[in-house]
Amino acid sequence: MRLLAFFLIAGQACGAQTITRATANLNGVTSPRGFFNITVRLYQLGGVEWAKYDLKKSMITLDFKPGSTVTAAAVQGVISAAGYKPGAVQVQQVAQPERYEHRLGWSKIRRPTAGNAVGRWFQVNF
Amino acid sequence: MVWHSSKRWLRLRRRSSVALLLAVPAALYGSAITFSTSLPVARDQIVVRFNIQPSFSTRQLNTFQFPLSIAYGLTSKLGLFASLSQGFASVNVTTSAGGLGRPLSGGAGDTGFYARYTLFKVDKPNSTFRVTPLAGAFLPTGGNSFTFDSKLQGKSLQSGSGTVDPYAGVAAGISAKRWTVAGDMTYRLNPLTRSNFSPGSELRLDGQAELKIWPIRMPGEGLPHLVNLSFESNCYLTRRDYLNGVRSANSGGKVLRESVLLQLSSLRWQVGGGIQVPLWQDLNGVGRVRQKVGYLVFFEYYLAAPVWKKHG
Repeated sequence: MRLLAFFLIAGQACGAQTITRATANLNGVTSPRGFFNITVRLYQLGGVEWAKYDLKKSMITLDFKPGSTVTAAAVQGVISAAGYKPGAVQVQQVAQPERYEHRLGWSKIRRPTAGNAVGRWFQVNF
Repeated sequence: MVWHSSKRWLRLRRRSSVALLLAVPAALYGSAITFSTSLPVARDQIVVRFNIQPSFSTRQLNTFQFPLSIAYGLTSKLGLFASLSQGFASVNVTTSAGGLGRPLSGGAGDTGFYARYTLFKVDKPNSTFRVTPLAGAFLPTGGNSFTFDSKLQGKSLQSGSGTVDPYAGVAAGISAKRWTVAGDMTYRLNPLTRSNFSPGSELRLDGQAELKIWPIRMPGEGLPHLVNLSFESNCYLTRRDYLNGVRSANSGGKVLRESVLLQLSSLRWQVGGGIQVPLWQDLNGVGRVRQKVGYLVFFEYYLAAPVWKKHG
C-alpha cells in the first residue's frame, strides 16, 4: 500500500492524474454477447469513460474520468439490471493510463447525448 | 380459404408429385439456425437474426426461406420472441394435360409469437444454466390458397396453416467458457380450419452442442472474436394431415436432421453458416418427397432497447 501511495503521489508530481477504477467480477457471462448488455448500460454510470472486458476472467474494468467516482453498489446495480448476478466489486484510485488499447479489451463508452429517444437509441446502437 | 375442396384436393394428391407435404416443414415454418427457443436475450436487449435457408429435395422441390427472428428482453426473466418467415418454393408437378409443370409460390409465412420465462437459473463465474418454459402461437399470416393449373397446391407450396396454432414447450441450456449445450421440446398444435383441413400437429425436439474453437488458448485479458463450431440436431414428429376432417394416410412422419455450423461472434454481432443433412426420414405413405440437403446462413445483431431517460 505504501508503495502504491508512493507511485500515486509520484505520478501526480510528474503531472499524471489519478482516476477511479472499478473492477467487477461477473457471473453468467460466458460469451461476448453477455458483455453487450452490460456495455449498453454503462452510460448510466456518471463519468465512466472506458470499459475493459476480460472473457477468461469473467471480469469488467471501468475507468472513470478524473474527478468522477463510483460506489461498488452502483456498479453492481448496473450488472443486476443487465440480468446477471454481480460478484465482488473493487473500487480504487489508479494512475490514468496513457492510452487504452482495443486489443487488450478496452472500449470507449458510447454516451447518448441526443435530445430525443430515437436519437439516443441510434447513438447507443450504431 | 380453399385449402382443399375435397375431391379436387385428393385428385391433386394422386396425380401430382405434391404428395410430399411434411418433407420440409422446417424450411417453411422454421425461423432460426436451427432453433431460436434457447436464444439468450437479457433485459432491455433486442436480438435481430436474419437467416437465409435454401433447401433441396427430391422431385426438384427447392425452397428458399428468409426467416427473421426478433427477441426482446422485457425483464431479466421474461423474453418476448417473434418469428417472421418469408420465401419461395418450387416443385415439379404433373399437369392435368399430362405434362410437367413447375409452379413457383412465394410470400410471407405464418408469424410466430411466444413468451419465454426463465424459471430456474444458476449463474456462476464460468458457466450459466437456464430452464425456460415458453408459450405462444403462430398467426395465420401465410397464404394457403396457392393454385396452379387451376388446382389447389399442396402444403409444400403453401406458406401458412390457415389457423391460429398454439405453441408451447420448454428450453434449457448450459453455457460455459468453452462450450454450450442447449435443447428444447416444443409442440405446435395445428387445429382444423373451417374447411376441415389441418397440416398436422408437430412435436419438435432440438439439441445443440457448441464448442469455441478459436482462439485455441483464450487470452488472459480482452474480449477476442470467437469462432464456434456448432452441431445441431432437429427431430420432427409430425401427425398426419386432416383432409375433409379425415386423417390422410400419405402424410406425417418422423424426420431427424443434423446441421454443422461455423460461427464468428463479437461484442455486437454474430455471423455464421453451415450445412444440414437429413439423417432419418420415416415418412408415412408412398411417394413422399425427401429432403436431400439444406444450407443455413445467418447474421445476428444485438441492440439496446430505446433510451427513454437521458443520462448525464
